[in-house]
Amino acid sequence: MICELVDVTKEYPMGELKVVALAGVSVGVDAGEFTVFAGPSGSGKSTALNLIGCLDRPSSGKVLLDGKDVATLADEALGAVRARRIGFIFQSFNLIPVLTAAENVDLALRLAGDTENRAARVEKALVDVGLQDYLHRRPSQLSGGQQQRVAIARALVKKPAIIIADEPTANLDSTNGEAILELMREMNERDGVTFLFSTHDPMVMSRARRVVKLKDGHVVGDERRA
Amino acid sequence: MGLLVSLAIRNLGRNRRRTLLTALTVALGTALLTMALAMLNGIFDSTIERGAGMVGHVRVVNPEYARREQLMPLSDNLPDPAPLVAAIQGQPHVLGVFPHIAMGVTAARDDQEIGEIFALLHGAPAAYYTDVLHLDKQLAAGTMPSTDKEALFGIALLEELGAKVGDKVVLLGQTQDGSPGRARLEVVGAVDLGNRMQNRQVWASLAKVQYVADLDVGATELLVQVDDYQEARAIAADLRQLPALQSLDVHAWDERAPFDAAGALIGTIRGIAASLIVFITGLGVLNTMFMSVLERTGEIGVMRAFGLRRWQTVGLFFVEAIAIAAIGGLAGVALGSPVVLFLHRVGIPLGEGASKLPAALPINQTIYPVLTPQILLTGFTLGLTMALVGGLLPAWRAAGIEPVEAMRHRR
Ligand SMILES: Nc1ncnc2c1ncn2[C@@H]1O[C@H](COP(=O)(O)OP(=O)(O)OP(=O)(O)O)[C@@H](O)[C@H]1O
Ligand SMILES: [Mg+2]
Repeated sequence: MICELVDVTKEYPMGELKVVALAGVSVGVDAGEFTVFAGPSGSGKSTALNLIGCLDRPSSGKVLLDGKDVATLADEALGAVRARRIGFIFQSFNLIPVLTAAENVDLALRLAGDTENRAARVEKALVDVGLQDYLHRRPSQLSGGQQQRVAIARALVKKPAIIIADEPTANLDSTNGEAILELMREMNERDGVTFLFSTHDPMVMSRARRVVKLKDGHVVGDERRA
Repeated sequence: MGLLVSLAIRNLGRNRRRTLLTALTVALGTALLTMALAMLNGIFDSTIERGAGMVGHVRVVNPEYARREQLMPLSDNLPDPAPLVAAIQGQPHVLGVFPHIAMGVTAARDDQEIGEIFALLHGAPAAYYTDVLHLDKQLAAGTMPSTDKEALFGIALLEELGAKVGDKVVLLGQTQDGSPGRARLEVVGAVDLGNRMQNRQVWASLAKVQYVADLDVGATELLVQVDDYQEARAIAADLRQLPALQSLDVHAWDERAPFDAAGALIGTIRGIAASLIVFITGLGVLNTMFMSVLERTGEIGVMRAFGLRRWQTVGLFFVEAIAIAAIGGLAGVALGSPVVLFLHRVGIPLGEGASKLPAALPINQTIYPVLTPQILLTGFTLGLTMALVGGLLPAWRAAGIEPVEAMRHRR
């Protein structure tokens, strides 16, 4: 088990009231999985991903990464864990606009303090996503699909334990969305990269090997496919 | 660190118009500051240097005279200054020692009744008038006196008297024991010191004023000129140790009224002017930096998610602010200097108000801003301070951006 939520709750204060985003969720992800969190809007998908991704801390319960509870780590330590062990892909790509494709990928290595042989690794990561001809383009000079490929290269380059992707295809048209998903699936099958993402999209769910269903902050289903 | 710097530099080019605007704010602030400081320099430094010379870089008086000096008490004098002058002359840093008497008199043209026209009468050696006061360079008409019967008159006094060069003027005062003292002097030169109060004085020979005040060979003060007026305190301290001066009051110009207070006052005025400009410019920087921070919240969140530390976030915006300020500061100095140099040539008229100040703080009616390397450095440094002032809060705000921001879908 790479990472695991154990009886996790997450509440957001809303004035006098509290919004319960997760109400006692237990779910784990193994190495090599290609798993999607599915469920209606507001069901807690993003919240769960944030917690597994060490972007946030639970209100109660444990967040285990490689068997260790990270929920109690201080900011700096949590940041270091995140930088080394977790890759992120975001719905709106979120590349740094002033950096070229290669520099965006390089930034992930630098922030992780992983500086060995950077140039070659950056190039390989971009070649792997099919962008060998776009190394020195800025995000504004790339299409949405290309930007999301750069984001995948950025998440992959440091070889994280898991890549977390919150609705990675939501801002893409169906052709580009499918291509991106195909790319991720290929990396999963070929290199054993672990992916965990969230989606509303039935097409995306159909490509997943495991679908965890969320509703109102509870896990209401967990199916695996061959 | 290299990463932060290169990112910050890239960010500069991101919203060029905003960066330029911010740099321009800093540039204007710096230019304004350079001009303000140069102007204050023009007002104060020359005034102070002249004032310090006038009142003696170091002054030796009877302690009783020092205690009551507003009254200029002639009776508390130095009856025999010659041995004192001999003792001080030849000490290190001492350029000259001048016995001096100042006394209040009423004046009238010799064909008029004595009226209500008051003047300050000086008696001192001719060298004091030329070497220290440079009166020979400020003659509006006439020449320097050559006998005891001749004297220099300020133009304002001459105007009130309706007198001109060549006329004879009668001065009436009191001797040291309070009996009437009188002198009849020929106006040989009219002096314009650029300040109305200062132009109501009379400069006569030491012997003549000794006679009017009935001081024999005495004087009320010994004015000591030194080679560096800013070192006067230390020199005064050394002179105080001389056996001949043991029982006397020996103090530097800036240890005495009005300059003891003026130094602090000038420092305060400079400080206030500088802080105001820094603060206002800082607000300009603050505004644009805040806009940048808000605009980049998502992207900072992404970098935080990828491992950017809080202090690095602060650094990122700080480096950017400093870079903007450095550009703006240089531009400001480049912008301000020619203006100052031009004003230094043509001068800035201050108007009548300046001339109503007391004679001891003689501010010229026209001031000439003085640019020094130190001002340029201060201007530039304060330009950077503007960035620190304006960059601090936004950077601090940026440091508060949590990694979860990366997940919020904006754009
Ligand atoms: N920062 C926050 N402050 C307050 N409430 C929040 C915050 N983030 C999420 N919530 C609430 O928590 C619940 C779960 O939100 P979450 O974003 O995890 O849902 P989601 O399944 O990702 O939805 P979507 O499909 O719309 O992205 C929602 O009711 C949401 O309003
Ligand atoms: Mg969501």
